[in-house]
Amino acid sequence: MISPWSIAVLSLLVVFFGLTLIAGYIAAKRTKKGFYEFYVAGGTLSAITVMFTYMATYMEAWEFVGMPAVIVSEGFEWWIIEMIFYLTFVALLIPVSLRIYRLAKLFKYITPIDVIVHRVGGYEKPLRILLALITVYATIIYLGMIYIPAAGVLSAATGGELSYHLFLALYVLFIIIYVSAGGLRAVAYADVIAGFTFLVAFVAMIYITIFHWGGFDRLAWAAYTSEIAPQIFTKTQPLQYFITMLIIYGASWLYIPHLVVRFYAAKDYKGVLVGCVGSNTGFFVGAFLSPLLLGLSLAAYYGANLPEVEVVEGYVPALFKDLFGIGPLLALILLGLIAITRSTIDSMLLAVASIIDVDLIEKTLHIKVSERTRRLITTLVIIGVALLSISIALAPEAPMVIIGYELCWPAYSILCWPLIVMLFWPRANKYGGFASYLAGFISLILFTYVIWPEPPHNPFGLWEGALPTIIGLAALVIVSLLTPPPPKEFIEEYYGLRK
Amino acid sequence: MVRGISMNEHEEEKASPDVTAIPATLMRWEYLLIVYLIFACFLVWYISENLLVWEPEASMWGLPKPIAGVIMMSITWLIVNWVVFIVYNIVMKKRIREVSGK
Repeated sequence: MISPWSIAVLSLLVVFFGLTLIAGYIAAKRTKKGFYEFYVAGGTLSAITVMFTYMATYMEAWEFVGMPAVIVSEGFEWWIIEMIFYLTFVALLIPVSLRIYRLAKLFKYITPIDVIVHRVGGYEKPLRILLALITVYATIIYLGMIYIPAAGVLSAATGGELSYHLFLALYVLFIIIYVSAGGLRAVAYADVIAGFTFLVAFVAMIYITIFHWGGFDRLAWAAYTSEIAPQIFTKTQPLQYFITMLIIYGASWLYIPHLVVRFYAAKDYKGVLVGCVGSNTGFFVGAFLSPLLLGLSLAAYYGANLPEVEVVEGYVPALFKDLFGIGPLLALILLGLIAITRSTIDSMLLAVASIIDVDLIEKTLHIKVSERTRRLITTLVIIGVALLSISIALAPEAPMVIIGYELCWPAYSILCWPLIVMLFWPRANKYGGFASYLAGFISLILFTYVIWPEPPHNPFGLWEGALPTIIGLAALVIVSLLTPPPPKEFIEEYYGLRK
Repeated sequence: MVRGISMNEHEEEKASPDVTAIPATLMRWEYLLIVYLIFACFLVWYISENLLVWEPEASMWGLPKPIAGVIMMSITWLIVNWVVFIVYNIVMKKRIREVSGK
């Protein structure tokens, strides 16, 4: 017999997705026909919507349950490493995003890949296939990585009464139904809902810090002098790992396919500026304060006696349950957790669908079908990717954060870095651009799965994505300089030098 | 030319002033970001090598050293976030005025 509380947790999941399905339905009614509207909301999202949608899409289980869990399961340094990347990211986000916004407006980009293919300026078909491969590879890992806490949180909230795999199945099912209904505009509206529900959980954490621990400094010292402290407050990674995380991993966040389309969708430059500064400020709350308070609370409250959970991300709901007991407040916090774990997944599925739909079916294979048929294909693609990602989450061997650092972001890094260089370097040509992505992806796969299968997948102590990224960039520069420069007309049009 | 991604004269003329005002390549003062990144490397070295330790008897700002280190780092990026926003807001408004001829 299932307990009333477990049924309540199950009901929360159903109610939340019910509400977002309604938002998706309304948005679908308002969504005009055409790819530009369906995938980038016609480029008309206001500054506030861009800010909320970027923030809600960005912040997910990674910050709220992944990071606190990794602080006690792997060590505090892994969270410091995450904070390091913001030093690079916040400084470069506006300069790079403004350039991408400019190009997206001028050339009406639809898919994340458009901005790369356009700049490379040649080998379009093989390049779209290659970029689609890299993106789908990264997305499958990313989605699987998010499924872990999504299901783990709810299962832990029921004390394991309802299994991790049951919630995993339900979660994926709801996501598939939801994204099939709306398009980017639907995702944007639902992200606003997710943003507000997140605040509930954050207020609960502040409450814990002040009233349970007696203030931040007392919490910090309680964690630092707990039984588990000598193990977790220790540096194990070499300096070069930290520095490559700062520079290479940090900048790789500037082109994350499902995030970059937010700037395609901005109505004007203010959408980009406010979206960047507002979401970065939100990250201070969601990615800095929230994991810090929760991670320290876990160390201080449990010490070395961490609760038994199916996946380590279950520590956070277990803590809330132990501190607040079962009741309406815990239900509200769980609602926030559901919103956070969900808000990224739908955007990623949509981005992948746009790549398969527009980049491959339309622009590479040239299959002419009606929009109705195309949307059906899109839905099937979403289902396929969502199902493939389950394989990552079925029996996870590491916390989601470690899976992300090791396997997922290296792929984003080899996508992003050549683009950033090409955006600002007119001499880069199609030979260098194509060679860069090919060399980056091949070296990533070889290093990760064949040559150095153990992390960090290189013998130099660098971040996992550093070596493939450096090889990709070297290929870009060397091949570009050894071959003729891009056509003058292209440079004039692309860089706006036509006078 | 890449299929479906090109801009004709008509579209170029229609581009809004804010789009036209964004320079394609780096403005000269934007190279200061490289100087900032060098400072960020120094900060990361300082925190990871000096503050990421378990020394319960030592403290910084009344907090354990690793906690003080991440607070130092996070305040830095929060300040940088707003400075970058303010600078680009001013620069964009100025450039839009120039492009619009006002």
